[in-house]
Amino acid sequence: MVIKMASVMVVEDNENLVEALKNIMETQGHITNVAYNGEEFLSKVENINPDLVLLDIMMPGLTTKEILDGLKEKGFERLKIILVTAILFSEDEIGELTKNYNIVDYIMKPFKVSDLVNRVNKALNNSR
Amino acid sequence: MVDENNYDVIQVNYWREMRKDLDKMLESYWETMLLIQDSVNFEETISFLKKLPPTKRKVVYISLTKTCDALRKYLDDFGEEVFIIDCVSSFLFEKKKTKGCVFVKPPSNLEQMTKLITNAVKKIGPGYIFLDSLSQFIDFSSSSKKTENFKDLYEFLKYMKFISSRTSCKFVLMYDDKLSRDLVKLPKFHVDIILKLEAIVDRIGWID
Repeated sequence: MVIKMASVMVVEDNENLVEALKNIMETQGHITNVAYNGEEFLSKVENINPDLVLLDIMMPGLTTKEILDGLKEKGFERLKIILVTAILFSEDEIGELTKNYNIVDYIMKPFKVSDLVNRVNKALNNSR
Repeated sequence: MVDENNYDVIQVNYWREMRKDLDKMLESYWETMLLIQDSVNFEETISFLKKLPPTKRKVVYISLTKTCDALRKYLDDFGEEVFIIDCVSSFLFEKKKTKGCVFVKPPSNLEQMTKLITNAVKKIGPGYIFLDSLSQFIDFSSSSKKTENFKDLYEFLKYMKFISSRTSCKFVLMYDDKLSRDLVKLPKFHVDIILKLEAIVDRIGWID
């Protein structure tokens, strides 16, 4: 699988996890930008225009639904999103999320670095 | 390279296999239990919760890590009537009114959690409250840097015991230990029981 360099945005309120995710993505050769909450993300997304977003679900401020709806309003409904979460959903709920938004995958915390890298590469290679 | 001279034992936790005595311990008088578990093996946690002595009152499950919908399949045959307080779904879904479940915003600290629990006790009068999980607020491992949180934790645990003594509601406070880290900062003097569930997972080969 050939992985091209991509622009990845990390949206996460935990500073340690932000650093870890940023390092992992940069090690893979991706340009990485970060936002610590939904408001910051939505204010930056147009300028950065990322290929993929790693989005935490539980952050202070905007809810994830508000963030995803905000992306749609800005015309970023095709922006690929991987949810990074410690929350367990039902299969119906995952189906609802992937139907309504361009959520291409979700990864449970804590995760293995190799698993994250594989999922990111898969998401970047798949066109949707 | 690790310089062994710079390391020393800072704490010893004692664990004992107590399967035989489990029923006796659960039947004995207690108000608060810290249940250390790995949510990856959540079915084992539910199996344990089913062993708790029955109550004629409702059970309240406060979830900070699983949606009500995801919890249903585990709790449908629980045996007691379980009321779920779902603190996570509102982040992603517009949920309609659901029987046996309420959707609320997640408490961001233990003080807010105390208020949520106080309300649940007043409105529902449960026999048990399961909190899933305390690890959203606190880290018992040595890598924890938020030492100031522990004062809040001890206050919280003290208040849970106070509520329990007034209402006979027992608290099972789950702590998710997915990474199996050291548990140096356990609140040993602030809960009645500390129990760790350990599920050993391995491939099962064919047996002729």
